[in-house]
Amino acid sequence: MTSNSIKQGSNKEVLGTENWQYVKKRISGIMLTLCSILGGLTIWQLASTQVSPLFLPSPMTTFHGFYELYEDGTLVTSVIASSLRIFTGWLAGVTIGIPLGMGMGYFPLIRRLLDPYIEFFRFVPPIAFVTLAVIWLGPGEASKVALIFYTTVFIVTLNTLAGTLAVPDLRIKASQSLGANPLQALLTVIVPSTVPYMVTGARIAMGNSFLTIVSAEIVAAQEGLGALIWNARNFGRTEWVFAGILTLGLLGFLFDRVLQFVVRRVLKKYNISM
Amino acid sequence: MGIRADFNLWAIITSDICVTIIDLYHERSCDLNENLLFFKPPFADAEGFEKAARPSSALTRVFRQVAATLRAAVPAKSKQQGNEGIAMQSGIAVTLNNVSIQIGDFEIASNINLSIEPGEFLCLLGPSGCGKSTLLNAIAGFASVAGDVLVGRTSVTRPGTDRGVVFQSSEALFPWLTVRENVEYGARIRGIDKAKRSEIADEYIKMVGLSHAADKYPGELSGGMRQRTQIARVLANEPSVILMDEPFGALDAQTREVLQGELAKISRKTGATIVFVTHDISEAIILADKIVTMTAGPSAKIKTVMEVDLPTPRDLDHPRAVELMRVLRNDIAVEVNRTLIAQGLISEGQAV
Repeated sequence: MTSNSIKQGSNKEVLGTENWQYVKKRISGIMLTLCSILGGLTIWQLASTQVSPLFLPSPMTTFHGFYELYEDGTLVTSVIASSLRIFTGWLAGVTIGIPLGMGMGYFPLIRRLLDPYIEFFRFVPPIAFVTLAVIWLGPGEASKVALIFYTTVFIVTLNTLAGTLAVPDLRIKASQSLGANPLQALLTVIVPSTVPYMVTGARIAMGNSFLTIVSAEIVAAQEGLGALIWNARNFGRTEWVFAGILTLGLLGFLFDRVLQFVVRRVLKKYNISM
Repeated sequence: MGIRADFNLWAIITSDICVTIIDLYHERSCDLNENLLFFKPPFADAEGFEKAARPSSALTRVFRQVAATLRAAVPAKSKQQGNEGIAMQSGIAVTLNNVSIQIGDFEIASNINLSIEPGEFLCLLGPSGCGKSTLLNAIAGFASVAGDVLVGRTSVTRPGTDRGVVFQSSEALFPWLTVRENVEYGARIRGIDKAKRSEIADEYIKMVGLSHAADKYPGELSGGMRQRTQIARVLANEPSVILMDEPFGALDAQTREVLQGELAKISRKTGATIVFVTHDISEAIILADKIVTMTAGPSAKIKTVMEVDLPTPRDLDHPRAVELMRVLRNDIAVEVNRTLIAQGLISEGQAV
């Protein structure tokens, strides 16, 4: 009894030290990130004093531009407009892409039929379709959402397909020996085995959606971050361009973090490293 | 009666039409499929199985399902006609009758005849590449064969719950399920309710000594614990034969020894029929009631069948164990030399 409690006590101590080590590591990590950001800002500031603000606005001017855009509501409207387009198009792409990739992986017939199109269109960037999208779907929301969908669906389909093909044969054999019929093996083995690939596809597609949205909004949009950046040019306000770019970066980072958080929570058991 | 007979005839004809369509379709589509051969279809005859072992596709799968459903509707007598003679031999757990296995143009094993009695622990021993794993796959229903493979009285045509398989690689576990969920898998597939299957799982998890880790995921376990999970998962399904393909081959020596001891205990306790593939002679002596050695491939055959008549738990220092070890080592060395000479790697004089 005594020896047991001593053991427990020492265990706790060890755990305490480990926790402290972790906290220290965490703090030093945050400090490094802060240093890196501050360093970047300093270089930016120094560089901006050497040239005209039209060429490179200083961090302070950019911040002021931010404030202006926020004050008149442009920033918020743009962020909401772009986010909605990205989210809708991305969600539609993921929703269609996953079953499509599964179908292609599972049924060789479907794969054969769709392969030529996938192989062709994956080399055609969405930007090439901007004009067509406007002609076909009009200058409204539909054309932008369609372009994001186009970007997403290929990446998600190809990743899911790769995942389906990579399911270890042994795992399927094991399920068959344990009594699974083809449908059960699909639902209880192949689909869950493919989940990490689906997530990777969805995550890469999210990044690409940000690339696409700017080009789509530059060509035809009243609002959105792409439109904001493009319109700033007409007023000669380089700091607004900078504000738009910074917002895009931060928004992308935020989207990725939210996705990471949701995946870690909901798909914890699939042990996905992100 | 008349209607019933008509239905049977109708079912057989329709299923044959389906098979024909599959064949026609296959002639054109065989080359389309690479690695997507997931499923052996549910045919009841060896001929159908051979066809089915070819790559499958969407359309053929639909036809196969139809054909299988129709076959299932035909009474057992017409289904089992070809096997009536062999079915007379009761009291045999596994029978291999003139089994030959061919993959492409390459004959892996030829004319294998073997019978395994219920409750027997049989080790298939042989040099690497002699086809012992392929033979195990044939019993499991993963490989197509010429000849008859029977488990009890039923002809093996596809994987089934009467044959549980423990694989060498722990990739066979489902990494998104905990140990308990992995062990429950078979019961879940059969639609057994949660309370009952959790009770079954707990029993077998306890048997393999994993109760403390029942809620962990395979990724959190050591290699030995993962193999214990695989064994529990198979035991929980209560198969009539357990097939083990070098299950301890990837483990370190100490873990392997511990697990060998536990497997010997489990096999005595459950009275399970076990076919165990290994290239490790001492492992075979520790575990087996009967050791079957095979000649080196291609066209591997059964070389010797030896009863192991040693007291349990087995002691490798027992004089008869030492003698058995010597004999088996010789047998296998002869085969290894033959392969090396055939491959031109050594000359006759250099044989070890």
